[in-house]
Amino acid sequence: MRNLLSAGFLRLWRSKSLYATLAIMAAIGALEPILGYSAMRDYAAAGMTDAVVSLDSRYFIFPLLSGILLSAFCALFVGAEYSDGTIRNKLAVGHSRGTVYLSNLLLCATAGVLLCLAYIAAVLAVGFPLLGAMHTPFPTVLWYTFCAVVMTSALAALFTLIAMLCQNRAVTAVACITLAYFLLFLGIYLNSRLSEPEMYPEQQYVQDGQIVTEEARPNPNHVQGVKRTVYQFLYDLPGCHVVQLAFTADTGAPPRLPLYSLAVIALSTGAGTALFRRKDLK
Amino acid sequence: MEYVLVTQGLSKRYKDFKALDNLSMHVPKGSIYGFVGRNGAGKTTLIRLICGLQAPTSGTYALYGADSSEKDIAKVRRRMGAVVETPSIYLDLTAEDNLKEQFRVLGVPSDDGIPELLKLVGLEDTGKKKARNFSLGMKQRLGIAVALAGDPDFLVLDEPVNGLDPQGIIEIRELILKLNRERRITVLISSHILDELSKLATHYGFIDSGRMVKELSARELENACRKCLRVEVTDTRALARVLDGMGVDYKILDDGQADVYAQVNISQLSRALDAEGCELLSAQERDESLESYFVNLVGGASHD
Repeated sequence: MRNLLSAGFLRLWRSKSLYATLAIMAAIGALEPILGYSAMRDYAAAGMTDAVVSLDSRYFIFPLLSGILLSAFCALFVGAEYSDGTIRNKLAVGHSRGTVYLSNLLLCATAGVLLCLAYIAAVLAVGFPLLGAMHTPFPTVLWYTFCAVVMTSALAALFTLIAMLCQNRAVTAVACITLAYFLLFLGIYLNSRLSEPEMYPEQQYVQDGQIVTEEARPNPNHVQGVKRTVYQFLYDLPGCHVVQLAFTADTGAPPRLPLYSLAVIALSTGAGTALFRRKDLK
Repeated sequence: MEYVLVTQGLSKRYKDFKALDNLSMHVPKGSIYGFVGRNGAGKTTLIRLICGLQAPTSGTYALYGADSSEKDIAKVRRRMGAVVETPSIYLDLTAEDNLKEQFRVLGVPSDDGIPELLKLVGLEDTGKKKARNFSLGMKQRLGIAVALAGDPDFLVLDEPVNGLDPQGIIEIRELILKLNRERRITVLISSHILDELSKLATHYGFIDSGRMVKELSARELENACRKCLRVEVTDTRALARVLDGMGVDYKILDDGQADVYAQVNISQLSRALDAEGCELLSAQERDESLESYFVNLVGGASHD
């Protein structure tokens, strides 16, 4: 395992895919506060002196991006093991399939963490001078960052699972990127469904000179019962809960979210290694 | 005889297709074993099995005496290097970086052996050129260098000269011979290019439809393929006396037949046999090439 990690890290530091995705993350991280600052200046020019763009709102974006870029990186990095045939070099000299799988998982998770750090470093470096300090308490920011990093690692575990079980690099790339977007959009959809209020509140409005009072009524779009439980479960899964993280960033994400991520890491790795052990490799 | 690889009743099935069917083979230590068969005969499947890329459906194999079902097989694989199908190299890395990678995979503490390995395969001047820009022959040689990174005793090469130009073929051939003679590496080469194999192999295994049809040494094959005169006589003892007297190499096949490995004067032979009270019934010149030997062995029907 140590040998495989040593070889893997040597390759990781030479990986153009890693540097390309890190550059994109850092570029977006630097651009976000610049755009925020520009918007703030526009507000000020329009006389809206109270309008403030905080660094917090720019900081909390990174998990949305890291998952998508990580999907591309994992597909390219692990996929090369199959497309270049180098996975054979590891197995033919006696490394077990379990260690080959785990070493790739650790490398992908490391890349995920680096992607997060690239954004954080850039957004803070550019954001502090332009937008000032963050308003969210430091422990809350730290907790958010921890949850986001664990979620990114869980996504790395899912992408590694796909990449290790699919021997076609192009199919792996499509599957990983599709999964990343699917989870993101599913999270947005579930957030909107779960946010539907149970009742429409009482409303009063004027019609033909008369004040009309509309009684509170049940919201037909409100999700309840088993369906709500299922939706909530899916919403808590990594990838989907990136939306939940964003909405609870300033108050603190529920502790169950990193636990769900850790559970996904454990389950996907267990299933992945079991399936990889039985797989016929070419 | 000591064997590096022995397989017993090895079978591999992919759904309804039987790629290997009860295959038994023996690769002697120090040999260059030519594993001959048509496309789809099961050569690559066998190599995938012994490299641990796939598990056999039934049967076993032993590498250096370690059975495939034992845990020790992983350790024994450390003594093995393989190039399966295409060279297994990172295309976005240089030759040197590819070897550094494999040295780390193997846990080799120092990179000091890399220049020597690159020189051995003739890639010492590739510098910062990425492997994707290499010619096929260079990639193949780098693949072999990667396989040699662990200083193996047993090298498995799957179709190593496929797609190479004549110069590339010669380079690979010389490299294999050098590894076998100077480093005492046992080499298993799968190929369907018989002419090329005949310049290297010390032992042969002929596979067809997943079954081992015949295993024999190069000497046995040479004898089988040697240009000869097959004679049919009434008394092979008398024939032996006559041929011994003529100082001619021969092989008695049965009570009435023998192969004579020399250009003999038929009239002279007939007279000499007559003097021994033996009749020459027929004489037929035989000149079997490796190709015709192979075709006779596995049957002429085309598979693909």
